[in-house]
Amino acid sequence: MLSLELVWQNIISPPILFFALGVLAALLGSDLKIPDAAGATIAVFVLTSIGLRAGVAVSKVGISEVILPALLAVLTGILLAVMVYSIFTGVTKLDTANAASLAGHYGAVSSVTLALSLVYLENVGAGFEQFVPALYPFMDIAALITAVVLARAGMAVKNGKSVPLARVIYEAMISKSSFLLIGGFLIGLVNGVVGTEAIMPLFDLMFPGVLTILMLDIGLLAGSRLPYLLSVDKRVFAVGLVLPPIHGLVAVILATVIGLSPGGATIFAALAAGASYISAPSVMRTAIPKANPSLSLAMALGLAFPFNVTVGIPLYYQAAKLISQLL
Amino acid sequence: MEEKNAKLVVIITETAIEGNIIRLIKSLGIKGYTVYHGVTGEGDRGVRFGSGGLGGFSENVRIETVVLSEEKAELVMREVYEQYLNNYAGIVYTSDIRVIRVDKFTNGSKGQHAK
Repeated sequence: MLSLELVWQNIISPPILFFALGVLAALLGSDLKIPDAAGATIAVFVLTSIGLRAGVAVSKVGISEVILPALLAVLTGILLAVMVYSIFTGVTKLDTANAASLAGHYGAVSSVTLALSLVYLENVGAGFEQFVPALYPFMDIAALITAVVLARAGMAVKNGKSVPLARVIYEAMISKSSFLLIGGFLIGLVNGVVGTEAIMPLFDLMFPGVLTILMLDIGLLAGSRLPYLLSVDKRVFAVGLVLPPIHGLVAVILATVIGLSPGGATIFAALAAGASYISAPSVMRTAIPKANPSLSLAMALGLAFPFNVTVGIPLYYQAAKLISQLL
Repeated sequence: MEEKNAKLVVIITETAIEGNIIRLIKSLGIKGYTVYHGVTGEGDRGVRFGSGGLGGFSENVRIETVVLSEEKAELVMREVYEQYLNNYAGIVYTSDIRVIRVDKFTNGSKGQHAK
């Protein structure tokens, strides 16, 4: 069923190899470093690009096309968070705070995994509904909020000083990834193809290359966290490894059922399988202080992300094609 | 201009709670403070360092403020410690300093600006 050729082609693609290069640089102790400002600028560029394109796409098909998928995205976000929390507390007996934080990280979306799924689909020449990336904030915010609610429900609140839920929702929405994506989406929506004609060429042209450099930065980051990963409990590690493909396949099925094309289902799977390591960490850190931030970061960055971008995305795409033929 | 004794209160903690700490010290009556970003180091909770992709998440921030009374300094230290340092990495300490332009550090002054 799985074409190894497609997986191999993906693994040797420049973005993935630059990720590996970054990991190697970190592990070998190279002084290679992308300056913080440059890294942040690149992230802004990538998010803006994704949001704008999705907004322009929805301006062409109309909002009504998006409502059902958006609803599915919210439900999937909640479902994934609950699933991850239950598995970590049930199977690995992890404490509530860490299980909830991991639920938030795994349930939320990785914008880079999303970006790479878009690049992958264009490389294999697959069509997809252009609005699917816009579902990002729906799944992301739903998962983060669910994770916090689970943490609150599972723990007795000590000294009454926990962050109010409204504040958590607020912080999840203004966190730079969601905010930029929603903003870019609205601006693209309002302007449509004509209004964005002057600026889109820049984004279209530079997207793959800039993403490649971002992958180098993330590789450096992941490499620096790798040593910690080795000290993680083995069962937690194992669960963290199998969660992305489970999420991805569940997402592919759900997306195909509501009528998305295989390409669209692949993007939806990338949203579901991706584990956030940029927005989720800061939201979770203030909302669930007792959780260990190093654990969730190492799992999201060291396990989920590498799996998704090497093997995961091609896997989800092929599963999507298969399932669309079955259903 | 005369010199007077004062206390420097220094809080070094996770960037993730920078906003929370600033809200806290303001609620205690602090009008001015200085913030340093990109602070890294190591402690019993592990090594603190960052990389671009995270936007400073794993780094620390240093917030310092000048207060005129020992009581105020102890209040700030105690509140920061009790409310945050049990759950978040960080330290808080005070040191004795000498200042001129005392009126700058009393209530109602315009305060220092952030770095």
